[in-house]
Amino acid sequence: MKCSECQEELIGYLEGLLERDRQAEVDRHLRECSVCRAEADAHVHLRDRLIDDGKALAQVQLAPQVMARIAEEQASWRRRLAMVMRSPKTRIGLAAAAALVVALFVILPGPQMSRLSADEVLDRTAQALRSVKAYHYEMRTPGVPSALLREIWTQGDRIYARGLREGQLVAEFWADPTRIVRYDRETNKVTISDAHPGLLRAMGGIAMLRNFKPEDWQPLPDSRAKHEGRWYRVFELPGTGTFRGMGRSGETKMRLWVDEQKYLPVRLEGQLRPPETSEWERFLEVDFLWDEEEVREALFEPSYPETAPVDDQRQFLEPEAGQEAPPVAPEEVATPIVSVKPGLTLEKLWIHPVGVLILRIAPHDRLPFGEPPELEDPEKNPWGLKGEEIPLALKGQVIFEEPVEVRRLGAGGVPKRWAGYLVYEFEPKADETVPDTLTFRYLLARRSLPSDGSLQAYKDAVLKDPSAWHLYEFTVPTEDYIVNRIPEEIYASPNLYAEKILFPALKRIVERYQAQGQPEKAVAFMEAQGPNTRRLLEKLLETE
Amino acid sequence: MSLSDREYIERCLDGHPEAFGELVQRHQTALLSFLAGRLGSRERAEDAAQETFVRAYFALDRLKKRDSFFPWLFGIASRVAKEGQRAEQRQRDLAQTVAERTSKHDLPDDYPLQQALSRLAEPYREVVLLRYYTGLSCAEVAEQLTIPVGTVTKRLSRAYAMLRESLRQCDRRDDRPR
Repeated sequence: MKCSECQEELIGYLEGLLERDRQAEVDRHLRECSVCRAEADAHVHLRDRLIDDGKALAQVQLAPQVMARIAEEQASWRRRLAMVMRSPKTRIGLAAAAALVVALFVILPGPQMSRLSADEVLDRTAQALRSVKAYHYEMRTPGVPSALLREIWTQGDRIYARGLREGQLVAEFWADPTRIVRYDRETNKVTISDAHPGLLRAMGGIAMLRNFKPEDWQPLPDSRAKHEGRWYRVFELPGTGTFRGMGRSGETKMRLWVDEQKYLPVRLEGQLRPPETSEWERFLEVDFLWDEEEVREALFEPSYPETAPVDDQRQFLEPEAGQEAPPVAPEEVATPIVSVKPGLTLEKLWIHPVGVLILRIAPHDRLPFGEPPELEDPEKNPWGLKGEEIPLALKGQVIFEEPVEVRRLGAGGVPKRWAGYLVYEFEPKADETVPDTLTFRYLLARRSLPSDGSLQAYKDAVLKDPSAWHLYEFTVPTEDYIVNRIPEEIYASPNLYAEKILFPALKRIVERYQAQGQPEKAVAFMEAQGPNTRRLLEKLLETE
Repeated sequence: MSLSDREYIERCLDGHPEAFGELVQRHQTALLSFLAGRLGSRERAEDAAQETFVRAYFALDRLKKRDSFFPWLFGIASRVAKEGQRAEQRQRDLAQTVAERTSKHDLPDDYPLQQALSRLAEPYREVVLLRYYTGLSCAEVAEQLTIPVGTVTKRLSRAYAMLRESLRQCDRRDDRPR
């Protein structure tokens, strides 16, 4: 080996990246060549120096100070001054800027400091809302005598709420993706029911603040208002749909007041215009309280007297008494996932590199199954989704980050649960690796089933109305969900007809292996499967 | 299980600001080394690193390529360092040199190394910081930068050569009689 070759390989050698034979060659050369040995020593010395420097600097912990500064800067006048100074719309000359700084020192905080455009205020509001960990607010329904004043905290996917009547605590409520617990203090009764994360959406439009989109809101003509010495900006979200409930119905819109100092909402109002009238009336008031301190974890733990009788109305999750849950082979257990998204919970995701992908989702609202509408509006349905969908209000599309063809094979329900399987086939890569991420994009009807349970009325209202549909998507990494066995549980679905929908896909897989001259791969694939899938493959392989 | 930079960014923008703390934790050592090299002071490097992270947080929604957080962060750090150096220059104009103003206690632990590192061109500096200050293996560096492992080792090799040359020159300067 020449010295130049050896020195080129030194990094690879020190990092242990060389093939064994090459490593041995370099070893031999270093034993024999003092020049290259000195070079290797110098490399090691520098490497150790870099590592030691890294270790010394790793003693510094910046995260606490950084996060504290970020929290402080949210309300910092200095940042707003910098934004105002940089904003081209202000056109402040140097001298005027100096005068402005002096004025600000004198009168801060005050209205003169914020001359931001409506768009800039909305952008900062979006930013402030994204950094908020927990929401704390009061909610009222004006005009409904029996309605309680509700004080609510939400953090992540959890809610704690209390109902007060004339200042007295009468009910408490805890919700998370797994269950809802209600404690009625007047009757001293506890009720536990199935999770309903869609509740978050129902609670005064708070979900729209969690996913705040500045472009949806419009400033009102008199968009700055002063109240009790503080200035606010007022925005409106027109056309939030039709509301029906509490004896009222009509077209709705939302109005939002934003504090000009903190860029956080202080009030959200829902307004309603009944049919054939021109007057808007308030049907919802939300006042944000924004706790200064960290919201306590304990707030979200149900707490009620031990003596209170508990009525557990949950219908699913555990196997029936006396029944063992069917055993699950480890090869088909993808990394557990319970990920709550708008309108649904993604419970499981299985990706088999041969080209089969299955999602198990639990939609949040009790929407009926049925035929989907044709959505003509290209904005609501840009990819022209058609075909059988389940459930009615959910239309989903799977997209990989790379251009991979994906076809839906079918969908079906999970026994005894309000959940379903969506089964897809995708074109695998030659080396059967799976793209790093996939996106699930879906249209969701924003209307729940009417309280009288009338399916026909629901269908009439929603099926033909593209404005009732909202577009969502989320992306997940695929790495943790790759399995080598198609899950057997799908065969228990009463209406998925798993054997029927998988058979053609499995046929294509077997044919592909045979066309590649690799029939042994088809056998290996079969041997890794559970009994139901194996039975199908045996049929196919016998036929061939 | 730790997430990728992209996943932390998405979590942060999805209403979980604490996810940004994980990004700080992951990249602070590399950032400190770079800024110490540029600014010649551990204390100024810490201040500048804080400022860099805070600016990055408020600009996070404008980062289009979420897999490129690391180089983007260093772009911000470069600007922060330049602002720091301009401020330092204004003070230097009062007839005090950096060497005179900076006491031994203020110099970072291996200032010559950090200074040499901060002067490397970005492709070489990047691989060194990711490998030795963020603690990634060569394979992980390759994945982060979406380049082959062979390119990582080549760049490290070149970086080593340049660092050693810089450090040799620094040693020669130190040895010169004053």
